[in-house]
Amino acid sequence: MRELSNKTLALLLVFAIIFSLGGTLLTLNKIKKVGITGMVTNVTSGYVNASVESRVAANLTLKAVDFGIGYVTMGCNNCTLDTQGGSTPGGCCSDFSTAQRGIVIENSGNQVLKIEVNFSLNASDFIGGDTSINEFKMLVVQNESKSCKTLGATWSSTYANVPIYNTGETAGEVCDRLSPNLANDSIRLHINITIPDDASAGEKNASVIITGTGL
Amino acid sequence: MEEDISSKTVLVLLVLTIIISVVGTLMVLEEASKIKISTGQSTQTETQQSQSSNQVGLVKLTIQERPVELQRG
Repeated sequence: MRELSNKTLALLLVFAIIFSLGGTLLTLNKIKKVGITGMVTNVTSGYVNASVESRVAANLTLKAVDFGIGYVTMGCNNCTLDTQGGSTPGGCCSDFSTAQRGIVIENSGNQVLKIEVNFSLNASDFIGGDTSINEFKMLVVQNESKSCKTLGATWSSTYANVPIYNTGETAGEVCDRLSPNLANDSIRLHINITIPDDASAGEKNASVIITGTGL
Repeated sequence: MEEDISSKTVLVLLVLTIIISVVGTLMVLEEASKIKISTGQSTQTETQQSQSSNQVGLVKLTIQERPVELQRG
């Protein structure tokens, strides 16, 4: 086989230089114009923006307590009813309903809530009769376990007078942090009333405002 | 017969080829490294404002007049 001359080798090297330069320039040009899907032009990073909207919503899944129509039995000076089925003293509450189950407050949003309640009337304005006997109280309990981190101390161990907003009292905080977790997101307010035998006849209504504040 | 070029010239061309090739490769690599594709990195911005929700419940009862007991006799 005949050996290549230096001239031929030089010619091949010149071609190599031309191809190398040309290839490099072409590659650099392509890189600068590179079009990768999703890549933002002229910036070093891109953004994908996703927003999760916060929703504050307290819902009353049981919103009314109706003790029905009744009276304090003859021979009794009062009748106490509650939403846990209680009716005392025995036989003193005639015809009233003991089937009520309280007011259930549910966190139906996606934020942790502080829950405050306030009633429109106190025992004297709501029930009437002897002020040393009449009572309008509430008790707050977990409706679903571990729904509320800490229940309001005033109302969580025993029935205590309802907070009244129209007498200047501050709202009653019944729960510091009510979870939005679907399986653990509700608390219950039980109501307890004591009707003196001298309470005036008629329909009695008291409203309660439940405020859920997003934390 | 035409005179052949010197081995020295061939050597110079070879060195030149190597230099151009190496420099070109480095330039391409440098440009390629500027392409940055961010994967899964997110910047979180939280906007929080105090919001509240109100609901109204009701407690009711109706007190009847106590029935009058009639005395016989």
